[in-house]
Amino acid sequence: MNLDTALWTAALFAALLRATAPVLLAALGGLVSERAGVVNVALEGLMLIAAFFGVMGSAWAAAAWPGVPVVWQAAAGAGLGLLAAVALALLLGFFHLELGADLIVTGIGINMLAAGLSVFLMVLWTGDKGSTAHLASLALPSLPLPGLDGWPLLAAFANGDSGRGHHVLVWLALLAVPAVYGLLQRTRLGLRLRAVGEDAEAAAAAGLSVKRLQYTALACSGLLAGLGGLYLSMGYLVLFQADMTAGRGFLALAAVFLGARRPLGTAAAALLFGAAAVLAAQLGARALPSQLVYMLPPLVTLLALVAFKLQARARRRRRAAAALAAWRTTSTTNSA
Amino acid sequence: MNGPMTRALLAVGLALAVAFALMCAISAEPVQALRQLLTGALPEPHWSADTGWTLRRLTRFGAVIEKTITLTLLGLAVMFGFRARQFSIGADGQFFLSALAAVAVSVWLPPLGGLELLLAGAAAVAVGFVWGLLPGLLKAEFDANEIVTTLMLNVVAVQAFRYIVTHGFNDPAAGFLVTPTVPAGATLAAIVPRTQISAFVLAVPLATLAAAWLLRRTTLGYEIRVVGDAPAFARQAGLPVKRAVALSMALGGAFAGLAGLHASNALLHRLPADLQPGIGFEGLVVALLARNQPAAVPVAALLYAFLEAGAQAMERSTDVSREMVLVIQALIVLFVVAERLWPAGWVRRKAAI
Amino acid sequence: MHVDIQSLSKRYANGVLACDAVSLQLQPGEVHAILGENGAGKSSLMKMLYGLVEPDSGSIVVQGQPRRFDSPLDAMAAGIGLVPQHLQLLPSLTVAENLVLGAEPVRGPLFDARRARAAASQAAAAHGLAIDVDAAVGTLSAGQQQRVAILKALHRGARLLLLDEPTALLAPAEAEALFEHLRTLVAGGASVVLISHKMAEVQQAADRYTVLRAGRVVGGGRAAGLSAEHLATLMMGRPLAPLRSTRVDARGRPPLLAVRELTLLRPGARPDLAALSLDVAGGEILGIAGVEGNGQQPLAEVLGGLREASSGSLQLAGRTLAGLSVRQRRQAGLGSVSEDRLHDGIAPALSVAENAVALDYNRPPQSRRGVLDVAHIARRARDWVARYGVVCRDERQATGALSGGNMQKVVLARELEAAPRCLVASQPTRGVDIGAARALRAELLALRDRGAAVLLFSADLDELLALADRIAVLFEGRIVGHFAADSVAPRMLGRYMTGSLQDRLAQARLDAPFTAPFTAMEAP
Repeated sequence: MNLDTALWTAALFAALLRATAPVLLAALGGLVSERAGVVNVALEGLMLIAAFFGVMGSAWAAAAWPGVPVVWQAAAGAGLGLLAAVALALLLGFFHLELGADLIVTGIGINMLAAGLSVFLMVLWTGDKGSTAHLASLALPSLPLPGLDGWPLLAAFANGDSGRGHHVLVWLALLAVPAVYGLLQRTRLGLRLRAVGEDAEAAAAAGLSVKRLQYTALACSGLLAGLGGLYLSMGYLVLFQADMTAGRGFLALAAVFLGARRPLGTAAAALLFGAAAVLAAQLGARALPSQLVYMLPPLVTLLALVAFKLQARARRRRRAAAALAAWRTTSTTNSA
Repeated sequence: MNGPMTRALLAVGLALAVAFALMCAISAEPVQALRQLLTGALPEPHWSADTGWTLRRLTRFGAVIEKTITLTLLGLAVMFGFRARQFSIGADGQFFLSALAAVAVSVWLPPLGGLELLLAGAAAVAVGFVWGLLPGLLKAEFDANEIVTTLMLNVVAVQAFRYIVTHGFNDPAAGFLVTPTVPAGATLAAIVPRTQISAFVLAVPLATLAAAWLLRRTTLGYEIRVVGDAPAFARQAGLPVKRAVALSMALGGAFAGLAGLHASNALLHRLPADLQPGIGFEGLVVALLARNQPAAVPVAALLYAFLEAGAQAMERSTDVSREMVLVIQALIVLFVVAERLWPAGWVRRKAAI
Repeated sequence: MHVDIQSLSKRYANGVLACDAVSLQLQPGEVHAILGENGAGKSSLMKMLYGLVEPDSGSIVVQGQPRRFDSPLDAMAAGIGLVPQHLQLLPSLTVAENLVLGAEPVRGPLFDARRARAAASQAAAAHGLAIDVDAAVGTLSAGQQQRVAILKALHRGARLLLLDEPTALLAPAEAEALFEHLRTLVAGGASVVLISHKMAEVQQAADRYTVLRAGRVVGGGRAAGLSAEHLATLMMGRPLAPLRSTRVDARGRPPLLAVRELTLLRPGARPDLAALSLDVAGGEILGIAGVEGNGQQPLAEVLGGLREASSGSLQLAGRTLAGLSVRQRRQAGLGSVSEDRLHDGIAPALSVAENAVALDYNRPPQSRRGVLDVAHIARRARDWVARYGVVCRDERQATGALSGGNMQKVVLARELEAAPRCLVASQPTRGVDIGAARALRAELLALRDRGAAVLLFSADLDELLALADRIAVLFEGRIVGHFAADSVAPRMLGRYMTGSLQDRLAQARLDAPFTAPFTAMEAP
């Protein structure tokens, strides 16, 4: 392939990563809590609150510590955003685990709380209702990989079309996939989370503290969803807008189910959703209208849910038939 | 209106208390703000020598009533699914598609002396029913998680709506992407001056009665309630569980269709392509607040709309922005479902959810 | 390990006295079987030993030290391990992971899978268990899973193992392997408590035994030399003077309900039902005796249409039931009173009237064209409440607010008023006070006298002997004895219920011979 095509592909690749990163991070957060038995429908709200506090935090840090390098100011903002998301996730846990509130409804309530709080505080602290455009908030940096001057093709893919490199949160999103896999499969915490999610009673009988583990899972999902939200307001855009998550949190939840509750599957599902967004933007109104492209991920999810069930049914039927055949041979042997 | 409603009222009270605390922290006039929040939506009787008694701020109150109509219908819609223990949150998608269907039928039909309205209504209800039946069937036949399926179908519906309006069903004379306007013969005129309250306000008591009748007086409603209360018993007694689950969601969709008809033929008269989704979630809050009891839904809807309008008044006359009401609504939801927050002796066992 | 149980008592909040001053001593190096029927107090005793329930009085002395268990963790710390009947293993985790869960070896934050695997392999080898420690537990057979559960308890340092109904899911060969394993374990100084109702377990595995009945210790001693006769007597006690009715001899009549070679397989474990055949004729009651867990619930579920049999045939009045939905079976004349009324017998939030109409709400005069006749439903419900003596405020009261006995009256009223041709009644008077139980039993007899076939599952031998015309004993999914109700002694039934006697040719068909003492074969 010639250089032009390659560069165009690299640009597309970069756009794909930009579209996928927030959903991927939130989806991985949803995966962790789902595997621990607490399905988190508040991913949307967690992303939103992190996006908001990231922006506010970085603006405050810039105003309060002007001498400090910009990247640390931005990091301070990011820290505040993550703190807010984790706090909200723990609040979800508190209402469900301590006060016995229904998990789904509480998640919806947390979504509403995040949406309301973010806009309310934005008006209170900046006077703007729509966005924080007038605020001097900061972006988190992009990270180019050094030393790739000799390989223009590789450099194009690794460092984006303008050589500035992919955003740090895009890198984090990619690294988060093996990290979450490692957490679930290789750490003690992951083993315990999986045990609790599979059979909380058996886990309790083995001496595990189910509540504490579920709080931990929710905190993890808050952290990951928060990172996804931060990308929206400190990378993709450099401001906060009301309702800027635009349903990504719900897409993330769908990605967990589409990905059969596995890290790699979830990542693939998130990529699919990102690809749809990129495709929609590229095609515009030319080939296929963007709305139809946006419809593809949900439709695929629906089909996948049906396919999973049919597969499980077929498997059960096969097993029952095998058991029956085995029984018949043993009973004829016995009576012979 | 006791027992389950007690808890709802207590939750509202607690949320308002928390909001008041917040107001005290950030505002110079918290008491005034709370007063405006709670009474700002009321019309104000005014005496003047030349005009006698008049009602001021009627338009704002009219908006409250209009919102109440929409939220009552959507609250009833969500309630049906919840009574069958299904977390169906597809009211948004049902609302969008049925509103579009109502506009389409109104626009395409020739003037039929008022019959167009009826036919548009039938189309809206039918479309809503089908869009609710889809996730119902997926749940009944494939045990597909209804939260995910209804969320996904919401996206599909909104995108389909946008596509249809953008690529064909629009008014070229308008300066922005919007459907053609519903002809006057198919609309409902306002019956209260200076508001948009039309005869559709009758939908509140009628729809509520219909929903209550469906639940308590029909075999389908009975099946829905038994399946929601004790699914294992329903199965053991031979009730058609799958059919009840699917139809509960379809019935909800039908009521959402009525809300769509109200929006298109009574409120807006034409639908912009960028109509914002989210009203379905407000219906969900109303259903939760009403603890899934039909009779309580209009009351919860009125309360919700009232607070919202009050928040606007609060913003106009004090330094507290109206977004405070969003926080209050969220707190209400959280407090209503927090089972162990309330001493067991005070409130009776929850009815459903 | 020495464990001295001194006068433990426990009365539950609902008034039931589960354990009444139970005392027994567990010695190191022995297998001790605790026997009794349902409700004898075995599981309450076990829960107290494992810290799941707090005794009202009495004490537990471990190795000379009195101990108090606030939770299973305390019991585990004292060296007591439990292998419950429903093994609490995680199917998707490997053997090694299940084994170390709760006390996992770590390398920093990472789970040290290598050390876990090594520990598991070592433990397995030490106990003669040939198993792949990397296999997911869900893929193992029931017997293997149980061995893993035992291994897990031992790995956590248990010196006293409590095994609850360990052979519930095991095939005979697996049960034997288990007993072999237990013998090896105690040879190393551990103690094992086997909670059971099966004779085989006492004879093959136990060194000593204790029998509980109605919460009290009624006997015990060395297992060697215990006769099945004596054990059955201890477990069953003497029945009260039953409500004797005229016995019906239905042999020679055609069966109304005909079950042939019914089999229900369970992957990886002993089948729930194994080639079971029975008949019930119109106008008779067939009682199914047996301790719970021997196939009663699976059989009731298959008959009701809630589960599909693996093979075999089911016919009601000559009509095949296979493939018919639950509603279709009910319409064909099959009625069913389920075992767990709170779970699947009533809708607790709905009124008595609404519960009463669950079977025929969709037919006139209860409803017409989809609309319920609420007034008629209420009237009929009031009539039933009066006739069946249901104690409630009125027919609008939520059914969940009624007492257990009154709930059951509603259930039975609903089923009986549907005039079933065949009623499958599972534990119909469980948890019901004596007066109400009497009334319910009288109703069952009246139903029989009206020509219906009644299949009665009951863990209460007195009830079976009072009501049934024929009795079949269910043991491990098979019919092991078939008797005329007025010519079998409770003691004899007890022997079949504990598996010490098994008539291998027994089936409960109307044309099948009754089990005679001489045709029966002793279990090996």
